[in-house]
Amino acid sequence: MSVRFRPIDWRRTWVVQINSSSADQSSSYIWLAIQNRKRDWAAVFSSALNLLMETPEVTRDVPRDVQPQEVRFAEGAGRITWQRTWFWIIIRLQLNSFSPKKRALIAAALLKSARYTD
Amino acid sequence: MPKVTENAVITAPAEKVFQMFVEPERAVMFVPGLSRISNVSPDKRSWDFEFNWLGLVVSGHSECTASEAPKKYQFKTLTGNKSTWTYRCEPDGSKTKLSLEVEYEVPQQQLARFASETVLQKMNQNTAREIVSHIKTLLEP
Repeated sequence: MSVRFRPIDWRRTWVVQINSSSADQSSSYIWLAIQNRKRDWAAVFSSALNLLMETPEVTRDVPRDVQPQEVRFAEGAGRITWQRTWFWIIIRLQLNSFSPKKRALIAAALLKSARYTD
Repeated sequence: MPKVTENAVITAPAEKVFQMFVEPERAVMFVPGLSRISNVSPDKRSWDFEFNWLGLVVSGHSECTASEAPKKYQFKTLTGNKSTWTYRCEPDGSKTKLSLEVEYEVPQQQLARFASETVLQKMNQNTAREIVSHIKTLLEP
């Protein structure tokens, strides 16, 4: 086992949560990702959703230069969209299903994937 | 070796609960602090893991030592402070009794520096509790 202090990890994507709101039936989150390299966000989120045992539906017929891109899941009750700007990417997660605890856990898992998936 | 145990009853069939463990990468979704699983062998019996707590990165290697669907899944961390993690699923009607047992070596040198054995036990107990709670949350509606 190795223990290191790595305050700057170039394998990591810097993603910060800039807003979140939660009601009885829904939650929404906005994250900002610093774009240090090109990433296939659809693949990142689809892989994470598969691990969460959800079925991702990627909008494949939308050209990649059309904004925003999106992945839906839970029969449309969950939706992740991302929009590129010159320097960063704005990611929005909307959850209109599940218990409040499950919504928070799904959001945390997707945020972790956004940060650490290579 | 000291050990901690946590249990929960999950409203899901044992086969579905067991599916949470057979993909090593899935652990990232429910284990607090676990940031990466990589170098998974084709038979999914060994992998590397990485925890990240605010820049402090702990990495190591694990191997699956038992996979008896849908009842028991066990793996060991083989580097550094060794530990054995055992998940057991017992069908109970339409529900499943899930238990997680973690046996771990007490790291004597680190222990002297960072924490007492009791504190370490409490930390491991809390981690096991969170893991079982997360699995229950993810599998129930």
